[in-house]
Amino acid sequence: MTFRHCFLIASLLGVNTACAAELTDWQLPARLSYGYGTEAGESVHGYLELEPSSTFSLSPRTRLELSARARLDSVDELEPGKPSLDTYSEFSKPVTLGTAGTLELRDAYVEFELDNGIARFGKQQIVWGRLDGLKVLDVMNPQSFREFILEDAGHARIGLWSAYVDSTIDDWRVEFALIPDATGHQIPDEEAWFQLTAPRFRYGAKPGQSAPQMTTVREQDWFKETAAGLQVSRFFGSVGVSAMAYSGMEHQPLGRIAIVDSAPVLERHYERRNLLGLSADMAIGSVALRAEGAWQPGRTFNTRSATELDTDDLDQATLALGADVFAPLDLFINLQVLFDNIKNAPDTLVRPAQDRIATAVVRRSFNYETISVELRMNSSLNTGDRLMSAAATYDYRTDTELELKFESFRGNERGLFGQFEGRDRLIVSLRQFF
Amino acid sequence: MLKRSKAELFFWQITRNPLLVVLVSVMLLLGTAAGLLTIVKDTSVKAFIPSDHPSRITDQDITKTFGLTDTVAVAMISQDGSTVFQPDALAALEQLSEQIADLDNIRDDRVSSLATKSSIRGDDGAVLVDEYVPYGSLSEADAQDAFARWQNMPQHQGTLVNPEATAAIVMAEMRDIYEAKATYDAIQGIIADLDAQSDGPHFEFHVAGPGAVSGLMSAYIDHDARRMQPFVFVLVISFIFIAFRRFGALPGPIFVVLGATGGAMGIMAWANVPYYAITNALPVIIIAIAVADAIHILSAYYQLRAQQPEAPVRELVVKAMVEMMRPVTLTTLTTIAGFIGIAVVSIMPPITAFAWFAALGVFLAWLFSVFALPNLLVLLKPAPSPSFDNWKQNRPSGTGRFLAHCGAFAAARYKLVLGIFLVLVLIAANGAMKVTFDRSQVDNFKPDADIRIADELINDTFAGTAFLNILVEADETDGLMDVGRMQKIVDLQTFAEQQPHVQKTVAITDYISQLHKAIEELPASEERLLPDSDNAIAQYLLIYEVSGDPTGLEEDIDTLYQKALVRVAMNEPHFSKNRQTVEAIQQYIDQQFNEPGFTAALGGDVNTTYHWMKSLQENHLTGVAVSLLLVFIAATLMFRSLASGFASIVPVCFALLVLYACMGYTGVYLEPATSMFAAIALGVGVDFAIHLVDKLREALRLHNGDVIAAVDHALPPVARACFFNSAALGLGFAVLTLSELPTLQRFGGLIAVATFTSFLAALLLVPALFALGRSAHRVALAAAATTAVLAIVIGVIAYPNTAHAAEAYDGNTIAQHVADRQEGDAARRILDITLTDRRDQTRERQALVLKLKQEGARLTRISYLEPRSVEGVSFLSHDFHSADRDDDRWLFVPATRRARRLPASARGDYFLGTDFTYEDIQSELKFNMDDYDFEYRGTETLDGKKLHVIAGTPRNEDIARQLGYGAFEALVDETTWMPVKVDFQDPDREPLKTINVHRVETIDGIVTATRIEATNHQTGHSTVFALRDVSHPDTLPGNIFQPSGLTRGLPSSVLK
Repeated sequence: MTFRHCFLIASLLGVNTACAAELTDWQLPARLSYGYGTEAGESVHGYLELEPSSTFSLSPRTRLELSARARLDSVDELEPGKPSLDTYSEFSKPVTLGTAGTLELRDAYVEFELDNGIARFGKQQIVWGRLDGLKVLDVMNPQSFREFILEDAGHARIGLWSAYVDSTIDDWRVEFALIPDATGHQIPDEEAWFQLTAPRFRYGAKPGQSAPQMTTVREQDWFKETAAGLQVSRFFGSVGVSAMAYSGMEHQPLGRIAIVDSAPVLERHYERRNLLGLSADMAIGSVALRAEGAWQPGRTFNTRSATELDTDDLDQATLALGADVFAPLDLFINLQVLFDNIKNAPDTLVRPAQDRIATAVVRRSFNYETISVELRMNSSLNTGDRLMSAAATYDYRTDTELELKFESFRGNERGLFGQFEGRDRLIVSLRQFF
Repeated sequence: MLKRSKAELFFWQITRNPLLVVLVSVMLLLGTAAGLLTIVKDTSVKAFIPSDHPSRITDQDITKTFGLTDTVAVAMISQDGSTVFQPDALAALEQLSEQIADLDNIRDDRVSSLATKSSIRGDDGAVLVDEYVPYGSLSEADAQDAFARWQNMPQHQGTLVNPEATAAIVMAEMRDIYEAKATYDAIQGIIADLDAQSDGPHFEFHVAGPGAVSGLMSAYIDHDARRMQPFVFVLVISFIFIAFRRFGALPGPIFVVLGATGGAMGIMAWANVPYYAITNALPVIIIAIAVADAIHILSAYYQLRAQQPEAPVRELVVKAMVEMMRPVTLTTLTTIAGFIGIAVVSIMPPITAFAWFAALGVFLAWLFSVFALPNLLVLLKPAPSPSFDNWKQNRPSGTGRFLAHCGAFAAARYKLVLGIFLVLVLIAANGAMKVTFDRSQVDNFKPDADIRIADELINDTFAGTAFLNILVEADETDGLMDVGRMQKIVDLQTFAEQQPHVQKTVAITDYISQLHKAIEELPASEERLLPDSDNAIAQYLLIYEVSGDPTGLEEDIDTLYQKALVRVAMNEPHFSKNRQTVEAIQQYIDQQFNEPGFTAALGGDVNTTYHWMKSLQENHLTGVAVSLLLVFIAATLMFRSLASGFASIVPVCFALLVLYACMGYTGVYLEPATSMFAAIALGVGVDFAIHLVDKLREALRLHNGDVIAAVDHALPPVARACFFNSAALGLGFAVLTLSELPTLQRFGGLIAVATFTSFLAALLLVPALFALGRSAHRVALAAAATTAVLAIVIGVIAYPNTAHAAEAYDGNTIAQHVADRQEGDAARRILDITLTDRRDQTRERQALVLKLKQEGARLTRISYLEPRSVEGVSFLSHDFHSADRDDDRWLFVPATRRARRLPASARGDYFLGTDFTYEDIQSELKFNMDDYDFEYRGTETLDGKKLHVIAGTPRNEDIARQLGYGAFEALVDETTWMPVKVDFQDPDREPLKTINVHRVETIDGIVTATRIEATNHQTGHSTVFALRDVSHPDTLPGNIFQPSGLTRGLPSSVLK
C-alpha cells in the first residue's frame, strides 16, 4: 500500500465522516461496452464501467461533489496488463484493479457559493475554450488517450487537484485557477490498441521502430509544477469574448535520452508552457460561430536528428474556427478547422511545423429524440489521413441507452489518424442510469 | 251655405291678405337668414367634445401652457435607402424647414426638424448643446458628426429621423387650422421647387400630419358640400317640375325651402352656434324635408284644380290646405320628435346643435308651408298641371295608378309580402350586426389620395402622427424639480411605451437624462437615467438654457417648472386599435400616478377621438331608440290609434335596419359622420308612412273597411306625391356620391338608399299591415308583432353591437388581451413532462423552469432534474423583444462542463423531444402580435363556458416557416385571457397539433396554466406539461440566466 492509496482512502473516510452532511443527489451510470476490431478480426474491449457520483450539502451554500469511475475490461486490449500510469501525479493516480481494471477518483471538490460566483477546491475539471475536441484553449486538464480521441471529451478529461474561483464583476466574468497537480496526458503503453505510433508521439522514431526503455521524470517540486490560469469574459452585444492567460506544465511529455546503467533510457519529462488565448462566439440566425486563438511563446518541442534527441523553444500560434448550423431536414452540422503553426520550425522538429485539421459532425434525431444518428469525420489536411465514425443511439427507456458505433481510420502511418489504420472498430454499448 | 270647418275658417283667414302674408314671410326669411353673415365656423375634432369635458379642458391647458397647435408633417424619405445624414440631404432639409417656417400660417418658432433641433452631449464633464445642422455650408464631416450625435439622442430617433436614418421629418404648427388647405398647397409648392433644384440624393416628400388631415378634410367637406348643395337644390326643384310640369309650381316650394333653410341656419348663427363640419348636411336635410310638404300640398291643389277647374283658386287652395294640414302637421311633428330624440341624448355639441336646428328647420318648413305657401298660390294662381289631367275624369295619373296597384297587391297578398319582409329583415339584421364603431380621420380620404398615402407612409416610417398628450402638473411652482416626481414621469413613459402602437414617448425627462449622461460621462443608452438630487435637475435645466436655445424646452416644461408635457407618439390612428392604449394609460394614471399635489391628465387628438367615439357608442343607439319612441308616441297620439302608430314606424324601422345592414356589409364604420345617417333617415323616411297611414285610415272609413278598395282610392294621389318626394330626395342625396370625399359619398349613398327603402317599405308594408289587421281584426297585434320583431331585432343588434363595440371585439383585440395577460416579472416552477408515443409508451422527465423579465428581453432557463440520463442538462434562452436582434441560446451538458452557444433561429423547432416548440415554451401561451393576422370568429361553448374564437394566420410565408404553423384557431376564456384550446395547422394547412389547457390556477396573482397537453395529430405523439411548486417572486438572481450561471450550477436558494 502506497502513500497514494492511503491518501485516497483517507479522502474517502473523510468524506464518509462528512456524510453527517446531507446527501442531496446521487447517481450510478453503468456502461457495458464491447468493441470488435473489424480489420484485425479480434475483440478490442469488453468492459463494464461504473461511474458513481454524489452531491452532499455541507451548508446552505456549500456542497461536496464526488465522482469516481471503476472500469473492468475483460479483453484488456486498450490498456493491456497493468497500466503504468506514471504520467499521473501521485495524488491523482488511479488505483489499478488487478491487470484488467482501474478505479479512479474523478471529482472530489468542495464548492462554495459566493455572492457573485463560486469557489471550488479539490479534484475537478476546468474547461475553458469553446470548440469541440480541438484543444486550443482547453488546456487546463490533461486527457486520457486510452481510446485516442474517440471518447467524449468529458469522459476522457482527467480531473486535477486545483483551486478555482469563478466570479462576476459588473459585466465581466473572471475565472482564476491554481493547479498544483501536474498530471499529464495518459498515454497508452506499448502494445495498447491505440498506442501512439506516429513519429510526433514517439519523439521522432519511425513507425515500427522499437522503443527504448522509458521512464517518466517529474520535477518533484509541486510549487514549480503548479499551473495557473486566468480568464476574463464578457459580452459585447451578443458576441461572447474571452481572454485567457495560462502557465503550466505540458501535458504531453517531451523526451530526452539518458544513460542509465550504461543503457539508453528515454526519459519523458515535462516543461512549462505559457499561453495567451482569445476566444469568441456568436450566433447569427441558424448559425453559431466560434473562434479560438492561442499564442504560446517559447514552447518546448522535441527535435530529432540522426544523432540526438533534443529540444528547441519555438513560438506556436494556433487558430481554430467552428460553426454549428441548424440545417434543413432537421440536421445539426458542426464544422471546425484548426490552423496550427510553429514559427521558424527546424527540419528536425519531430512534429509537422504546421497542422491543418478539419472536423465535421452531422447529427440528426428521430422519433422525438429517442434515436440519434451521428456521422463524424476528422481529417488532417496536411497529410490527408482521416478518422471517420458513424454512431446510432437509441433511448430504449428513460434511463437506458443503446449505442452502435463504427470507427474507421485511413491514411499514412506517420499521420495523426493514419497511425491507426487497420484499427477500425465496431462498438456496441448499453448504458443504464441508476 | 255649408258651415265651414275650423280648419277652413283658419285658412280663409290667413289668405285674406296674401300679399301682406307673403311680404311678412319674406321679411322673416331675410331677417333670420341675415344671421348667416355672422356665422362662426368650428370644424375641428375638438368641437365634438363638450367644452367642460375634462379632455377638452386638458387640451386647452396644454395649448395655453405649451402653445401646441395643430401640426402639419412633411416627411423626406430616401428613395434608395441612403442616409439623410449627407451634406446635400441636410441642406435640403434645412431649406425645407426655413421655407416652411416662412409661410404665413406657420408659427416660425414651432418648426421641429433636424435643422432646428440640437443634440446634447458631454465632453469632459461639460455639456455641449449643438445644432445638428450648423450654420453655413455642410461638409461630409459635419454630416457624420450630426449622425454620431443623433445616435446618442434617443428622443430624436423616430421623431426627427427614423431609426434607419433614411428619412427625416419636419413638424410645423399652424396658426389657423382653417387655412390648412392653403398651407398644404403652399408646402406642396415648396416641395416641388426643392425637387426641381435637387440633383443630389433622391428623396420623396410627403405632407400629412393631424393638422393637415383635419384641416384638409374640413376644407374638402366645405368645398364639396358647397359645390353639391346647389346641385341638390337644383335637382330637387327639377323633380318638382317633372312632377307637376309647371313652372308655376316652383315658386312655392322654393320659397318654403329658402324660408326653412335660411331661417334655421340664420337663427343658428344669431344664436352664436358655430357651423360645425357636420352642419354641412343640415341644409340638405332641411331642403329634403321642406320640399316634401310643398309637394304634398301642391299635389292636393292640382288634383282639386283638375277636378274643379271653375272653382276659385283661393277656394281650391283652402281646400287643399285643409286636406293636407293634418298629414303635413303629422309628419312635421313626427320628424321634429325624431330629431329631438337625437338632440336630448347626444352630448356632442355639433350633433346636438344639428338635431335642434334640423327640428327648427322642419318647423319653419311647416310654418312657411302653412302660412306662406297658400298665399303664394293665391297670388300666383298656378295653371292646372298636365300631370293631373286624369283627375278631370276623377281618374288618377298613370304613376298614381301603378303605385296604387302595388299597394293593392301588397294588401291582397299581405302574408306573402310580410313573409318576404321578414326574410329581408333577417338578412339585413345579419349585415347590421357586422357594424363596428371605429374612426380614423385619414380614412375619410380616398385610398389613393395623396394625404392618405402620405399619412400612412409617415406612420410606418416614423414614430407616428397620432399623439396622446399627458399633462403632468404639480401643485406648486418648481414642483417638478423633484427626482421622485421625475422618476414617476419616467415610469409613466415606460408603461406607455409598453402599450400597443406606442412607438415613442418624449418628455422633459429625456432631456434631463441626456444631460445627466453627458455630465456624468455615462455610456449612451436608451435607458432614462436621472440624477440623485433635486438640485441636480434644476442645475441641468439651467445648464441647458445657458448652453443652447433657452426656449428649446418650452414644448416640454413650463417656465414655472410646474407643468410638463409627455408626448406619446402612436402609429395607429384607428380608434378600435388604440382605445386599449388610452384606457390602459388612463387607468395607470388613475391608479398608480396621481397623488395629492401631483397629477396627470390625458389630452391630444387620440384622447379626443377616444372620448368622442366612446360617447358615440354610449349614446348613438339610445338616441335612435328614443327618436323612434318619440315618433311612435307622436303618431299614436295624432292618429289616436296604437295600430296606426305602429304601422307608421314599421317602414322606417325597416329602412334603418337596411341602412345599418348596408354599413355592415360594406364595412362602413359607425363614427360621428355616419352616426347622423340614422337620424336623417328617420327624419326623411317617416313621412311616407305617415301620409299613407293617414290617407288609408280616411279611405277605410269611406269604404267600410274594405282595404283593397281603400288602397285603390287613397293611394294614387298620396303615393304619387310620396314617389316624387322620394325620387327628388333620393336622387338629390345620390348626387353626393359624386363627391371626391368618401365621407360625403357614404352620406349621399346611404341616405339615398334609406329614402328609397322608406318609400318602398311604406308603399308595401302599410297596405299589407292594414290588410292583416282588417282580415283578422288584429291590426294592433299584427303591427305590434311586426314592430316588436323589428324593434327586438334592432335592439338585439344595438345592444350586443354596443357591447361589442364597447369592447371592440375583434381578433386583434382578443389576441392583444391574451398578449397583455400578466405573467409576473419572474417565475419558478417544476415541470413534470410526460411524453407518450403512438404505442402509448411513456417517458417522463422533470425540469426546473426559471423565467425572468428584463428590459427588452425575456430570459428562460430550463434545467432537467430527471431522468438521470439528462440530469443537469440545462437550456438557456435570451429572447429579445426587438425584431432586430436575434435571440441568444445556450445548452449545457454536464459531461462537457461547458455551455455551448446554439444558433438562434428555429423557434418552430421542437423543444428537446417534446411536442412544444421553442416558441410555444417561451410564449407562455400568448400570441405574438407581430407574427399573426387575427380574425374574430365569434364564440363557442366548451364545458359550459363561453369562449371567444379567434383565428391567426402568419403574416407571411417566412414567419409560417419559422414557426412551423400555417394557421391556428384558439378558444380564449375572457375571464382569464388564457387560451383554453389551440388547434394548429402546419404550413400546408393540414391539421398539425392541438394544445389543450386542462387546468388554470391563479398563483401569486398571476393566471397560470398548470396542466397543458400538446397532441401531434400527424405523429400520434403527445406531451403533457404539469406545473407544480409554481411561484412568481419579484425577481430572481440575474446571474443564473447567464452562460456562466449554467456552468456554475443553480444556487441553493433557487433549487429549493
